[in-house]
Amino acid sequence: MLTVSKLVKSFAVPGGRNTVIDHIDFEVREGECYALLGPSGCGKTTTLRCVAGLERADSGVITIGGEVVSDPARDIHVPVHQRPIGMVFQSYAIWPHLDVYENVAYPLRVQRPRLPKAEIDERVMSVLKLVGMDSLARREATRLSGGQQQRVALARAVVRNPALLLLDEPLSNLDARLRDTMRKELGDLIARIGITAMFVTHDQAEAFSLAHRIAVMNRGLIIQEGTPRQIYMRPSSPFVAFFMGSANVITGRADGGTGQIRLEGSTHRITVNTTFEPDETLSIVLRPEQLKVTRDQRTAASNVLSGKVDRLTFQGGHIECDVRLGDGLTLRVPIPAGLELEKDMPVWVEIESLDSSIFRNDENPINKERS
Amino acid sequence: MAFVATPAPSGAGRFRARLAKADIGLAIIPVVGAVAALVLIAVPVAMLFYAAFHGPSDYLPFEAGAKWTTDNIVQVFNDRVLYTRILPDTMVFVLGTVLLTTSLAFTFAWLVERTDIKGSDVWFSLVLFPLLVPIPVLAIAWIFLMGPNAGWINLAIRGVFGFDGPGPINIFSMAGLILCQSLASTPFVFLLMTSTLRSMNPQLEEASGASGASPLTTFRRVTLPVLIPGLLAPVILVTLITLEQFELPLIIGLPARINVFAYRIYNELNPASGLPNYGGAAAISLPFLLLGMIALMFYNWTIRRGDKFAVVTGKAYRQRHLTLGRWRFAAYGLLGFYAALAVVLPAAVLIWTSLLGYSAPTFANMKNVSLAAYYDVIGNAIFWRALRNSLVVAFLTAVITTTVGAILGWIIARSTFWGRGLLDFISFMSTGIPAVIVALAVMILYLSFPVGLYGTIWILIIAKSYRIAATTRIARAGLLQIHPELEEASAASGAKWLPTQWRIVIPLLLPALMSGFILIFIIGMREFTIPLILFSPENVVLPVLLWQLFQNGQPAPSAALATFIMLMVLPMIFLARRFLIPRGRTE
Ligand SMILES: Nc1ncnc2c1ncn2[C@@H]1O[C@H](COP(=O)(O)OP(=O)(O)OP(=O)(O)O)[C@@H](O)[C@H]1O
Ligand SMILES: [Mg+2]
Repeated sequence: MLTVSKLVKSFAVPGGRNTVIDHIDFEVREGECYALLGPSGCGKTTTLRCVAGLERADSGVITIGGEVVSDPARDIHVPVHQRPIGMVFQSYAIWPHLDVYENVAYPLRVQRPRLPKAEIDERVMSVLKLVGMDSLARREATRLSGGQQQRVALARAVVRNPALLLLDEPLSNLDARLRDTMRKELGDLIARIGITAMFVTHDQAEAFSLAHRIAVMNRGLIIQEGTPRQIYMRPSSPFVAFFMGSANVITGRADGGTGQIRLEGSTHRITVNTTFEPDETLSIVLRPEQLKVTRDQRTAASNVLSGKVDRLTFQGGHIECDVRLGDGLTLRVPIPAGLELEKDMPVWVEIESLDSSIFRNDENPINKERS
Repeated sequence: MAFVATPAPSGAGRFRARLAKADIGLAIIPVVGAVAALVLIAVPVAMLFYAAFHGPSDYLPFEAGAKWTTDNIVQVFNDRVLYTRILPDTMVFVLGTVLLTTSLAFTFAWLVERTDIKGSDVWFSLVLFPLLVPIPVLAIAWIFLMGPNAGWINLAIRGVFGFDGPGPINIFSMAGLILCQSLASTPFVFLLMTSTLRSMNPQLEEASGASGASPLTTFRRVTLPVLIPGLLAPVILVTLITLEQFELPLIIGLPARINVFAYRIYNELNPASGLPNYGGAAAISLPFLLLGMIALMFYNWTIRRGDKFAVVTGKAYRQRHLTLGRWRFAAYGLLGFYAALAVVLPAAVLIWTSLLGYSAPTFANMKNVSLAAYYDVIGNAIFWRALRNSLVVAFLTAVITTTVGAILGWIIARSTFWGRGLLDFISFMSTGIPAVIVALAVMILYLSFPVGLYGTIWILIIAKSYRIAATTRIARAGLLQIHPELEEASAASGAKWLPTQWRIVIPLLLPALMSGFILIFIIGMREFTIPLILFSPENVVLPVLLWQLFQNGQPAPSAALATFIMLMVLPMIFLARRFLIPRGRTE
């Protein structure tokens, strides 16, 4: 449906050009909902705007529905209004001088040849009904709440049955509680219409719940692409793992040839089945479900580390337990609310299926991202 | 007058209520503000009404022998000239100027803000230039350029096409007056329009493109309707300003026998023969004061509508720049035409005339170059007095209006003083009062009550300080941006009211006050109308001196003085660009 290949986009900055998108490739399949996920400033919006035709790419080919819409090498740039798209903007961009109905009718009114009035009316009312705004059709645009604006923006984007729906951070302008509700609604709607959609977000929860496939971006590159499950379970780099949320990322150093790793900030070692170069620096990414806290040591497990409870944070259904493993190393592990622990109590942390959690890296991209 | 605690549920309301209980002594602030507003605006205007209904007309209203009468009104409104000359001339002048100014200003604002035109920063400064120069300077330059007999442009046209003189351009005509006034008014409207354009969310237009509308359709159906409230406000404002214009109608309109109302008032006070007609001048002011007020209401209403549209968010967006392509030649042409006529040629002709007298710009003439005119000006004690007066008056006026504006802004934004709505109204009303009328009102007031101010620079300062609308608005807007919680946090840290204002509010407000101060200072340096009407040898200022030199048929010294004023103004461009328009164009 949508293919993007070798897309490059840079902006002029004082003293040169800043390459914001650096040769990215991806494909969005018919009927799929595809998410670009990444930290602020990584180039998500710019990618989306290149697809929409709001930015001119430097090079690379973009096709929508088989038709080439952008290929600077062949001097092709189909302007935005001639691309078969609908777009929901981050600010929603509801026109203040038109009411709800006219905002939604606009894409049909500017269509040539003209559509009959009755058809426009029927189509507008049916999308408004779809987004639950039919009773507010004549409401002034300046008197809409955030959630209502979002619905109008969505209705306006789909009313002319575009081939591709583009959404830029569609939920980021809403407050937290509303965001959850609207996320579900948005997912339902996209599924019900069955439209191909691509959206941009920096919130992994949003990407997980809405997208069939996700591309994780960083600094103008797609680092990993896959289903939410694949990306969560098998992150290709510590950056992706870290970005997926509540993971512990720790640094270790290989003991030559033995498959043993010294954990920095503590005296602990862990054992894995792979061997590394002596003194190689490694990143170890531990997801919460890989970790288990016990009050007594079970010798059966291969990697069990001793520590002390440093802090307990009650979270409702579970407790976040920080276990201090050494002077400079603390792991955060969720424990069931029923497990009775106290500060400074000695505990053991059991680590499961370690082998997919170790990353070779010369530099440490995680710390860089965080700083 | 005292604070009244109102049970308001909002955060700001609570804050105000607490404040009201805390410091009864603060009641002094609204009193000071109210008195200042009354002295500066309300009293002179009341005086004007009083004078309009007192006669005989050459008597001051409180002079022995003056009594209540409607003679002035009857006489003024029975005069056929009002209907055959003044009203039609004023209307044509205002309409023509507003149309031309608006078209030029919108085009320039659009080019500079929304297209890929090269050197937008330079164009921006060039268009701004006439805003800073006193209008008599420009007027004299334009007469040198477009005078029917020996104006440079006429000489050039005749030279190229072989026409005979005089003409073909005659600046002393309605068309000439409208052209000059538009050249002079464009920068102000341009400035307001650029900020409107800059604050439009570009996603509104992008959403139209993404809905399948072509760029032209987008411009027609989204850009224009969304911008119109924001563009209407400057248009109304320029209507108001044109209505009160006095400088060009005097310098260019008088020889052309054009009779607009502002000049008419001046004429009643300085008749060719006979005594000043105070009553008549006051009477003729009333309908125009009313007209100004109506325009102002309309302006206020537009602004409210604009706020509701929330297009003018105060936030500057990164605008998309339209590719001009082949149209760029037309764009450079138009901007170049304006820059030539409003900046480059006036500067050139003034410098030339100051060095060479009023002569044609030929190589042959160049050997007569001399600095004599400059020595003439510098050697004259009046010049130094005028320079000192100009600076002192502009500075003190700026101090007074900024202080009064800050106090009024504070009362309106933060206090619960019962009269704050009225104070807001009075301060705002000052925009709608033509300078001629204020000068007249102040003149009548201080002639009636001789307290030793008449004829001094102090009367100029008092008369000019009535324009507190701008500084009040600036201070109020600045205060509204300072969240009351910042003050509450200071109180919660143990600071009393006064230290809180001193350490928290004033430092945060300072940039806003500073820009208001600079604005008023620049306006004060340009002011011509009030100092001319209230002129005495003691309180002469530079623009008035310039006008007198020119009137006396001394082209070279007046050009030298004009050049000097231009040089003085140059650094103000940088001041203005730094403080008033902090961001030119966001790249
Ligand atoms: N028109 C522009 N001119 C210059 N630089 C730009 C422009 N648009 C974006 N950039 C730069 O490109 C980079 C990527 O921007 P982009 O808006 O694509 O980021 P993003 O991933 O959407 O981030 P966010 O989550 O903050 O929206 C940023 O560093 C930004 O400053
Ligand atoms: Mg973005």
